[in-house]
Order: sequence, then C-alpha cells, then structure tokens
Amino acid sequence: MSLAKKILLPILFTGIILSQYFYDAGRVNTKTAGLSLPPQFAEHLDLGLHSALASFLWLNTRMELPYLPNGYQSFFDGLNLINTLDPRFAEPYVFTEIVLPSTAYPQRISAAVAVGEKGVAQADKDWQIPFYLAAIYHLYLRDYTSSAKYFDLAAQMPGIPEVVKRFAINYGIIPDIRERTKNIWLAIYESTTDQGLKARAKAYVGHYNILDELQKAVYDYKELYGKYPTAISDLVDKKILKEIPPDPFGLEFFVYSGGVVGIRQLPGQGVVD
Amino acid sequence: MHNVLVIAKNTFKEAVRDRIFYAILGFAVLFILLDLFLARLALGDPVMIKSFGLAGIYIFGLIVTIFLGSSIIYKEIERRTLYFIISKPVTRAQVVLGKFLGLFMAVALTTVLMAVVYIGVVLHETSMFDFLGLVAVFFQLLEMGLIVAVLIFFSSITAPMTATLLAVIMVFIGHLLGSVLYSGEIIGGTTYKLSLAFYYLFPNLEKFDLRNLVVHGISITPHGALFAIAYAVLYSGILIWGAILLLNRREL
Repeated sequence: MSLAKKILLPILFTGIILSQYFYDAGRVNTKTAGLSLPPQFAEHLDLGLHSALASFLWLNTRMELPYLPNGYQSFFDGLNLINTLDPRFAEPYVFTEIVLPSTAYPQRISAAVAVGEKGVAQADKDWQIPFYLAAIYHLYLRDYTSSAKYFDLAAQMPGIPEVVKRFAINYGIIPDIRERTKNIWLAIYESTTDQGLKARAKAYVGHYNILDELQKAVYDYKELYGKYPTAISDLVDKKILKEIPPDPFGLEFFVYSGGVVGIRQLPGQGVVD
Repeated sequence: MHNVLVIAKNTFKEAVRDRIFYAILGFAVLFILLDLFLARLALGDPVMIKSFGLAGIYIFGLIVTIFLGSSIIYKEIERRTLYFIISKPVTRAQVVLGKFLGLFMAVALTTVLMAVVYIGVVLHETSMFDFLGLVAVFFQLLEMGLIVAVLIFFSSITAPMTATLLAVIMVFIGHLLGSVLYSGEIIGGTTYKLSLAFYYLFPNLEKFDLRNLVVHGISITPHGALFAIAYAVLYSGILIWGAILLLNRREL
C-alpha cells in the first residue's frame, strides 16, 4: 500500500465517524411510531416463525414499561399480538402480572387479572402465573376465595420452589390477613430472580415487620400505663422503643384510638406504587 | 447410480467452494452466537433463547438453499457444461438427481454446523441438551430438501432471478396454506373449493415447522412424523421427475 493510501484511508474513516457523530448531534428527535400489526397479519408473514417473532416483539414490548403510567394501551396491543403468535409463551403473562397492578390505577388491576387468567388457561405450565394472579387477588382485590384457588393451583404446578409451595398450601389456614400478606411477599422475595421485584418484596416484608413491632409496643404500653398511646411518638417518649423505625416506603405510622397501628402518607407525598 | 453419486459429489464440492456459502455461514453462526447476548435480555428464559436460535438456523438455511439452488441447472446450460456432461454416457435424469443430492448435502452440512453452534449455546445458557431442537432441525432439513427440489424444477426452465423469486413465493405460500384454507372455509362456495385445491396442490411447509412446539417442550407424534417424511419424499420426487421431463424436452 502506497503512503498516500495509508494516509487517505484513516482520513476517510475519520470522516465517516465524524459525519455520523455530527448527524446524530444535529438530528431532530421525533416520536417514532411503535410497531402495530394486526395479529393475523403478522402470523401470515412470519414464515411460521411465530415463537421467534413473539420473543422478539416481547423484548420490545417490555420496553413500554416506563410509559405505563401514561396509559397501557400500547403495552396491551403488543401483549395481544404476542399472545396470539405464541399463546404458550409464559414470560409475558408473568411479567404483566408483576408490573401492571397498581393501587393508583384500578383499571390496571382488572387488566392484570384478565392477563393472568388467560395465562393460566393457555400458557405453558408455570407456577408463577397462578401464584402472581393469587397475589393480585389477595393484595389488591381482597378476594381471598379466588386467591386461595390460584395459590392452590400454583402449589400443584411443576417446578414450584419448596418455600413457595409450603406457603401456597398453608394460605387458607393462616388466620391473620397481615400475616398472610407478609408471607406472600416473603415467598416472592425468596423465589424471584427479578432484582426489582426482589427489592420491592424486601421493602414490603420490612414494612410489615415494622408494623408488627409497633403493634407489640402499643400493647406493651397499654399493659404498663393502662391506656393506648395517643401518638406513635409516645412509644419513644416512654422508653418502650428507642426510635420509630423508618418505613421503607416513607409512610408515617399512627395509632388509632382502639390501639391499632395504622399508616398514612406524609403531607405532600404522592401515591405509593 | 455411480454417475449420480459422481455428479452429486462434484455439485457438493462446487457449492462448498462458493465464497457466498462461507459468508452466509459466517453470518448464521454470528446470529446464533448473538443468542448469548439475547439470553441476557431474555433473563435466561429458554423459550426465547431456543426460538431465536432455531429461527436463525431456519432463515440462514433458507438463504443458503435459495442462493445455491436458484441457478443450479440453468448455470450448466448457460456455461454449456451440460452439453459436455450429456455427451458422456450420462442421462439427463442422472444429472438432475445428482444435482439434487449434491445441493441437499451442502445445505444439510450448513444446517448441521449451525445446529452444533445452537446446541452449544443452549447448553451454555440453560445447562440442558436440546434434543427436541435437533428433531426440529431434522424436519427443517426435510423442508429444505423440498425447497431444493422446487429450485431444481424452476432452475430447469427459468433464469436464476425468476427461479429465486418463484421459490420465495412458494415458501411464503407453503406457510400460508393453513390460513388460506381457514379463510376459504369461512367464505365458503367456490372460494372454499379453490382454497382446498391450493391446500393440497401447493407444497404445504407448515408440517415441517416444529420450532413453535419444541421451544415449549412439545414434540411431533410418530404418526405426524411418518406422514411429514412421506410428504417430503413424495413431493420432492414429483418435482425432480418434473424437472427431468422438462429437461428431456428441452433442445440442447
């Protein structure tokens, strides 16, 4: 290679890289339209590669997650397409059951239930689908009958971790609702590989542990002073507790007149989701 | 038979010497290895890992088949090498059969190489040997055999570009026939009869698609497997016979 070529070649490549860089820097960001194909159309054009196309679309649809609070229609359109292409594909059902429910958006809870029930009916046998469906019924809808039904179904599924199975079988015999709820989160914490969900479950378990600790302290206060404390800070003032533990969700604790410990949002705080 | 094997061997050698063959094979291996990266995105979900891998084997297998097969007979006529071959004690039927076997062997070699990489990737990501994946690859080979026969048939009467286009259309139709029949049933009348005729006359390739089943741990029934193999053998046989007849009628 001649000297001229040796010099020219790096110059040309540098020119290419710089052109790309300046093109990107000056590009006007416009909202790109999402892929929206009627399921039958996609099914006809994929040369029978339904499962691969469903997996590919799922990777894209999952990216809709940050935009869920703005409306979940786009996420749902993608999910519908994926379910049509490969109804047995379990991951989308599980993921939707985990991320969609929110106390702030009641319609998302019913949508998550519909997805979960569809998953139980047509997906590969995966214990997570009925388990998370049962958790939605328990945590968000307080429907303990449906919850017990799906926990029982999850307990019969292959591959369910022993700790989760033990909980699912015992669900109906645990008397206290808070104890049951804490156990659900404990089972999720010990079984999930999703780090986000694990952190959320850990926070919930911590939250319920604090509530238990405060409730016990309130009863101790009653035994010592013959009446319930009027404010949660009384527990510290009277040396029952060294301090009021901070809630993982930043919520504030208080005592009802009947001695039951409750929670409320701090002034100016948004919805806990 | 000896003549057929000699032609098959030469066709195979010619195919694997083609640079485009290695380029496609390289891309295919890269695509399947990309599964290692996709496995991270898929959070280790075996369904996604397997479906991407098997799709890669299919798509690149199809590309190799069409690239190598579209000009297989036409090229011999254009280069006038066919005149040289048939001046020897070799029949046109032997040429067609040899070409089919040689090309199929090259396609099978590519598919097996891709399958080896795929099995390695799945083993690495899921610690499981995907036996059912190999079953899906076997049925893919039956489909590729049929497509090779389609290409040889078209290559004996048309130019490579036309043969390529017709083969691609055939592949799409082959995977659409179930939907065509379903739509025909809904409409009814003559449309249904026409869709029924299409369904039985065109090569129906959906029966060789086990990919959507095996990723979920489901396999084909022995009954289904037997009839799929019979279908591939019979349909390929008819197409090769048709190619022989067309070539025999052609004045060289």
